[in-house]
This record gives sequence, C-alpha cells and structure tokens, in this order.
Amino acid sequence: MPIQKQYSIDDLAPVITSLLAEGKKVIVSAAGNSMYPLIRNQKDAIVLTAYKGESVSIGDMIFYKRTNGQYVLHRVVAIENGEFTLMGDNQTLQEKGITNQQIIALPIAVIRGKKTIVLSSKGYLLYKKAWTKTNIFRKAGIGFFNLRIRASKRLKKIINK
Amino acid sequence: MKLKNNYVLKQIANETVAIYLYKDTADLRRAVSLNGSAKLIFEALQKGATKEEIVLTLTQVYSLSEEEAKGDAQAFLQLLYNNNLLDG
Repeated sequence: MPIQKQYSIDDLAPVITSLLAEGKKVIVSAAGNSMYPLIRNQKDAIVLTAYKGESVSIGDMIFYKRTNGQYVLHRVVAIENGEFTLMGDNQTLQEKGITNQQIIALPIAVIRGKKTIVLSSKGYLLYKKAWTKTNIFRKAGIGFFNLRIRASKRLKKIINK
Repeated sequence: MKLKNNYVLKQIANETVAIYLYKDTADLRRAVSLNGSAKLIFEALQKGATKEEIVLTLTQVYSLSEEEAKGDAQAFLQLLYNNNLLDG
C-alpha cells in the first residue's frame, strides 16, 4: 500500500544529494524553527539547487553538512579566512569554521504557505539586508523573548503548585 | 489508465519511494512510500501497462493466482485513484 510520508532530513539527505547531482532542483519541507520567522517548521518548504562553487556572501543562506553528519540550512553571518560562520535567524549561537566543501546546496526560493519567495527578488534582498544589519538588536530581542517564555513557564508552575 | 504526474523512484531509509517530478524539480514533500508489489505496479504504470498486463506481472513475479493478483492490483489502483495520483 502506498503511503505519503514525511521523512527526516537525514533520511532524505542521500536522495537530495543524488537528485542535485542529476541536475534537479529539490523541494524539501522545513524541519525546525531555527530560521523562523522566514521559514516555519513543517509549514514551509525550501527549493534547493546544487552548490557548484558559487561565491557565498554574508546574509546568504546555505544548506550544509556538519562534521557530525547533520544537514542544516542557516545564514552566513561572517566570513573569515575562507571559512563561514553560520547562524539561524531565530538563534543567537554562532557556528564557526564551515568550509566550502561542506556546502551541499543553495536555496533559491522559500515556499511560505501559499506564497513563493524567490530569493533573488527585491523584497527578499531588502529583508536579507535588514536582517543582517539588525543582528545585534535581534540577539537582544530573541534573548528577551526567550526570557519572557521562561518567566511565563515558571509562573505557571508556581500557580499550578 | 495512467499516472497523473511524473515520478522518479528512489531509496529512502530502506524503502522505495516515488518522488513527484515537475520539469526539473523533485518535490520531496510528496514522496509516496511503496512496498514490493506496489513498486512493481508503479513501474508498470510508468511504462504504460494495462490492468491486464499488471495482473499478469503480479502472477508471474509473486506466483499469485489470477484472482489474488486482480484483487491486489485493483486495491492498489483504487488507492492511487483515491489519492488523485491516477487518471481514469
């Protein structure tokens, strides 16, 4: 019996790599909230194209393989000595030392609900610029947001005791 | 009787999966997991086989009686049709 199934990104990785090598673009569902608000967990999808050594700049998103084998889509926040520093839009922790060899694919569009955001569109380029420029404020914003969530959870625990 | 869309068959986590292909784009959100006989039928449909040819293949590969093969083929084709994957 056929079943339409959702597979984890790690299960899909060999197929993604194989399809990209065949010259195909690949659409995958978003897994995780690290790129929120642009990409929402399980609601949105990303269109990937094979990485062929194109130049990658600060603000670009890349789909890469970590040394522990995990596959991730995050944004480049710094480049130093040819190595990339990555961070999710909804994160404050940076991941340093990612190399060109670890890049599998580049996203060309985000399917956000019913809307497709082409990553070369003017609107997205403005978003990318603003997102990169407001990095410092974002850290404070996410920190404050997470603090509020923790405080609210603690309060609920106290009330429920 | 034919599949509505193009599909490419791949292995994911030890399962055969049909991946929807539109032009040069593979959509992994719409992967259809196939077991052994489903894979056989799916491949036959991709080659434009008729229901009778599918039944014959099933009887040959799985040593099923014609009755059993007809039942299996009908159930699978109905499932494809209900999931909007099959024309007519």
